[in-house]
Amino acid sequence: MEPWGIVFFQDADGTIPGDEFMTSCPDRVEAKIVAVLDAVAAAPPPSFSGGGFWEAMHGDMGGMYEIRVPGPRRNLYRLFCILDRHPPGLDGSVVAVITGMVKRERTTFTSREYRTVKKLGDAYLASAPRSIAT
Amino acid sequence: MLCNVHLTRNLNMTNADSFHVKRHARRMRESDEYRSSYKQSVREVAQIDDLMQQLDAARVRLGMSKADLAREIGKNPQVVRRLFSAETRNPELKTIAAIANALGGRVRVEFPDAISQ
Repeated sequence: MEPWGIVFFQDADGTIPGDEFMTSCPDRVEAKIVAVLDAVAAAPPPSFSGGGFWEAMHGDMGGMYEIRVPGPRRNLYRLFCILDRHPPGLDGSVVAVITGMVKRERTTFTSREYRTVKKLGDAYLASAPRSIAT
Repeated sequence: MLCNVHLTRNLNMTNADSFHVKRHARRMRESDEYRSSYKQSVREVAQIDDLMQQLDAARVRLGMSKADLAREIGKNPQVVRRLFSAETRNPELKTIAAIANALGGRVRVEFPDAISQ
């Protein structure tokens, strides 16, 4: 299977939510997130088992995937992605980094927070060619 | 420099993921902690993935379906399906050991000679 690319969604206002989130992570957490991203792109599912950090989301968030990395002070860092097969404007398939959020372990995001993530994912999928950072 | 591709041409893949490649290269230069953590994480993720791939390959060689395997270890078939399809994270060691056992294998950890002796 051909390796996939990794792209970062760029919002209409020019911001890159995934980049902003990753920049805010501790270096160790950011490095692990990138290692998982690279592994997914090198052997996309179903070839890649997840390596313990990659998971499909369900319910209202179906179609999105997340990387979950525990960090300092019992925080859980979550990066939200979309597996985009042959997107318009690109030659191959990509792992699209949409945005990320951090929460304390054993707590949940609010439905409003999930809606924000979903909205950004929808904006990415609605763009043709895809709106990505270059 | 960043630009919005709403306004630009179609990108080929080399250009498309260049932001990620450049970003990663910059972070590797900037931060010792990032660099060492990245190298360690790559090995860690690859080990877990390799273990799961080995188990799935053994299952296929033995002609067992995922449902068969689930029955062998007393788990819901969905549990096994998810384990092998990246729909779950952080598989439990006891589940891994049960699967290895059901396939006639065992889980073992190997160390370089310098550490194991």
